[in-house]
Amino acid sequence: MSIGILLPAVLVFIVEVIVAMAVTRLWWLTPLASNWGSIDTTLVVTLVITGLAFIAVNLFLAYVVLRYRSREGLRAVFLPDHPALEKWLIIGTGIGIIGLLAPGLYYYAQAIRPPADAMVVEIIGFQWGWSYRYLGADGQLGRSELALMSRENPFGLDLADPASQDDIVTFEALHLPVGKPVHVRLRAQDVVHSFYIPQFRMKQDSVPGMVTQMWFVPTKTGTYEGACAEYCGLGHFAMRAVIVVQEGEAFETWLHNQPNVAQARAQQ
Amino acid sequence: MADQTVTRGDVEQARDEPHAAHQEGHEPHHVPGSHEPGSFWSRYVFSQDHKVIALQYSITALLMGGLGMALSWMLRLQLGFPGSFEVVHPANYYQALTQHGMIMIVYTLTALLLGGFGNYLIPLMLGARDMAYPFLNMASYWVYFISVVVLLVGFAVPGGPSGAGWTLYPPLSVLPNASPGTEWGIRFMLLSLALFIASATMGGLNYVTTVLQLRTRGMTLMRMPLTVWGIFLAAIMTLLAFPALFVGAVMLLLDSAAGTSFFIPRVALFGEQLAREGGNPLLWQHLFWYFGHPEVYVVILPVMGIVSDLVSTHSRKPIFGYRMMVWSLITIAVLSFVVWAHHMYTSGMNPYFGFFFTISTLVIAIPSAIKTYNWLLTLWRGNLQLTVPMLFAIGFISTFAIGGLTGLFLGNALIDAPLHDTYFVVGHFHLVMGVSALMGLFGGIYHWFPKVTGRMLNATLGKIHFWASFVGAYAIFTPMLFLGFAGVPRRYYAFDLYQFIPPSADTVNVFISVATWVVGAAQILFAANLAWSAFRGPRAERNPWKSAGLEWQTPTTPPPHGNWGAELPEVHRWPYDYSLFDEGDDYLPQTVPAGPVAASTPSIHDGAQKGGHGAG
Amino acid sequence: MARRRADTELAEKALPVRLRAALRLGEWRAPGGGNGWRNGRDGRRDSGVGGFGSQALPVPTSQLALWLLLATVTMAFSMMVTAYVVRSGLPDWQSFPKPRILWLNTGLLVLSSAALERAKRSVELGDAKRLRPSLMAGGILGALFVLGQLAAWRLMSQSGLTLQANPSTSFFYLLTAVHGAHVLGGLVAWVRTWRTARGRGYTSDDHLGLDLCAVYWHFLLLVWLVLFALIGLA
Repeated sequence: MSIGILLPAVLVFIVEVIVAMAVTRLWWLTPLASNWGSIDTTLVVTLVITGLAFIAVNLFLAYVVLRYRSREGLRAVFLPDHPALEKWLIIGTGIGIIGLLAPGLYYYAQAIRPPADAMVVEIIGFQWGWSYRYLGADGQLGRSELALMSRENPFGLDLADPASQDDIVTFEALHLPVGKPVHVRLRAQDVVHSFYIPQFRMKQDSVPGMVTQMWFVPTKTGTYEGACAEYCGLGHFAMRAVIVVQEGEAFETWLHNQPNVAQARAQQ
Repeated sequence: MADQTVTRGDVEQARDEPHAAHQEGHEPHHVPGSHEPGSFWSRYVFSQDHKVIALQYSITALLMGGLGMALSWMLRLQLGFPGSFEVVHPANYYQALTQHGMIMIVYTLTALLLGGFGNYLIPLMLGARDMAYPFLNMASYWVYFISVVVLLVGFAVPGGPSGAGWTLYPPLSVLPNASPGTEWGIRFMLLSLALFIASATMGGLNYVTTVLQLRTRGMTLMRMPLTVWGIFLAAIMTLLAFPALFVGAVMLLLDSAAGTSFFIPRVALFGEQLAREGGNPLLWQHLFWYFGHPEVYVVILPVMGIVSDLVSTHSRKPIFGYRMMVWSLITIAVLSFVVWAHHMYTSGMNPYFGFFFTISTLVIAIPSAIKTYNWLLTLWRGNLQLTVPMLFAIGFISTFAIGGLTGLFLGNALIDAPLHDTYFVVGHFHLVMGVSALMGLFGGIYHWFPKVTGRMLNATLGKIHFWASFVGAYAIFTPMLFLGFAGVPRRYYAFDLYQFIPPSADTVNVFISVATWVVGAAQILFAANLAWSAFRGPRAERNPWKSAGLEWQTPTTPPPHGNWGAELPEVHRWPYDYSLFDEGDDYLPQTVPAGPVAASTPSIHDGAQKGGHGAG
Repeated sequence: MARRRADTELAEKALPVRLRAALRLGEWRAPGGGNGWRNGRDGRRDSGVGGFGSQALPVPTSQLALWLLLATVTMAFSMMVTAYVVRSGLPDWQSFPKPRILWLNTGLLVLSSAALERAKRSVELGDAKRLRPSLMAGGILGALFVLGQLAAWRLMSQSGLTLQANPSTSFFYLLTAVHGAHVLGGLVAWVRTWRTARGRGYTSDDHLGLDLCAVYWHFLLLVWLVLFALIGLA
């Protein structure tokens, strides 16, 4: 087969396969389990706009190769410019870009403002694992200091601070109540990590020496996995987190059964 | 403006006779002020001739590309068949990952496009004898060579090369044993980068001054081929962006070797407190990406230029919207300096920066889209010669489209949240700055190989190379985009711990690995084609693609030292005068004087063969 | 220049368009074509294989190269300055007493720059006699500046303010070291200028090398004044 026919055929085939992959959702976003449906919406809008552009470019390529491949009697047209056409193309592209920007920026503004009534949880990343700290009965986090961080005291808790005594620290899993906004404060002990829960659509780096934050509302009970999404050394791929989303009561029960810092120290 | 009528004779002469070849009585090789090469050493090793330096750069960079490719095979062994190959363990997996990225982006693509293509084409396309500073040019290559040697020595030092990811984020990259190669590997890496930047600065000064000062008579800026525009702007960008990495590298080197804390805050590594305090890891990320993002465009702008020239020549049609093409290149170059933090949406920087960088990043898509439209409109109503360079140019347009469009997901701060650091990113940047850059590069190599060697590359092998690379690239990288949607994180040695990753991801990883090796085999075929054709390939015509560009008008092929014989050529038109005549050759070289062509001779070259077949 | 309205062509058949294009070759030129002689400047003699460019900008090539180099260096310093400003704005920044000798060094560099300017002016006025003493003074003062900076380092490290002590001293050493390296590069350029001055000499219409050396020197001074102000303020 002549290359002038083969190439358009291959281009069309590539477009077909990619469209088929997108439509059949062979690999697709994990089932949503948080309030960030807006991210999915924006992503789908982007996929449609860019997908149409991709299809158009490749089909047009296939068409021009098929139609204008060199053969007897074909001559090229001297067409160095076409300002009017160009103007419309730029306007069209601009509209497409605005279509991508508008939902993106609108929802982004929400994503970076945690609601004031959210439940605060602190997560600290280290090579290679996570630990979690809850406020405890007094509703505030105890003072922590980088200089006090160690394997046993990953958060660098100041044990002299009374506010620390009722904080609850666990390495096991991140338990969260369903339907309640969660404001996550992220810190790191050693290198940069990133806390990522695919079903929640959110991720945020945890950086040593800084506190970073993200927020979400878990909307479905169940057990989820967190993965480290910033390369952090040999164990990066094994830095798995477990997130348990429970009904509010079950969560409270669990939380109450956890020893707080004072109790845990007394047990030792 | 000379108002003479161009006669048929003038045109024929310009087409068929090498420039200045009729200047009898002149020694064509004697050029005033040039550096006449003498011995073997000054001719081939410490040469100051831009063409020799270009070859030295290209060969070194292609060899580095081979090394980078071999490292990627190692990664694919583990990802396709986890645990089956015991030679790959996490430490050398991450080292290979790091070095693959750094080698490909810096030591291969940047060096090949600026040092190789830039050196070879700028003087020839602009009608200059050589670069403005030939000695500096030679020094640039040898400093690059030393940087490569230092990089390779870094593979052999205790602890091996750095395995901190090509972004070298501290504290991971420098704290003892936080990642592989934190003791010596990272220092050699940084030293090598500093040397590379010195080399790129010398080269950049040369390319910019040459373009601005050494254009021949009639070669105005707006008559320059787009290849030169791309390389020129990329060279300016290296001058303005690389200093950020230089500064960062010096600071990181001090953090690693002298115990300073520019980027290292107080940390407890493996539970132990270190005597470091007060640094900020994000500072490195800003410096790195302030270099890193323009660097992406340093690679892609020359390729855009090359593809513009290929598309025009092989469509036998002027480039569509030359003026817009130039201005879109300039716009991209300028905007590329204000988008760097789109790599850092989830890094913990002030989240309000996200608004600015989302807008600037998505706006940069407009000039990129204009370029794509103009390539397509150049092909439209053309007379497409489906030669190997043209195939690669078409491959570039297709892969650039998917690579660029997937960037619109990641540039949007909101969608970046789920996709950041997943396989979507891997698929995106490989398609846009790996595959599409290589497509344009390969096209350029097939196109200018006859100019460089006087011989043609084998077209059949070239077509095999194209099909394997083009289809193979889609087969490798589009599944990654979808894996990214599914949330599969990048830089993972293994995935078996995670339930959310579907088992079909393992199957597709096998497929990707196999495709990688098929594509790799095609590159070996390409290397063999280069080596064989350079010495045994069929002799090329003087202007095998019937190109209007000035570079094809040298007195001999390959061009002599000093390029142009006794007198410099004079340029009278842009390099895209194609599809002018109905019969015979359809183009006018840049050296044909302007002026109304006599109406009685619309077809001025009746005896000629139909234009532009070459190896097609 | 008659700009062809391509959109009307779209409606037309291919053949007439091409014919018309052929007939109008004189009208369609590369955008911005012009006559191509606007900036024509033959016979340059200041660059390696110069003298061949006919479209050159109306500046000597080596001057252009110097300005490009200074732009690159400016980028490097502005990166460091930005990093310094951001870091020094954080609450845990520790200030330290600056060695007094920095004032002396600043004075040396100002005098050095002035001496080079004087050397340049004297050549412009054709007063070759004053050239060499001024040029020599500029070089020696520059070298003394470097020694003075080394003395400042010594004073600081003796009082415990070493490179590793804390980020503010690390930045101090970094900024002064990179600037010092930049001065050393200037001294290399100065040696070349000096040799030319002693060799073929500079005349009132051929003193580009000297001018560029002076420009580099003033740039050194400017960068140092910015750095010194920053270090002093923070």
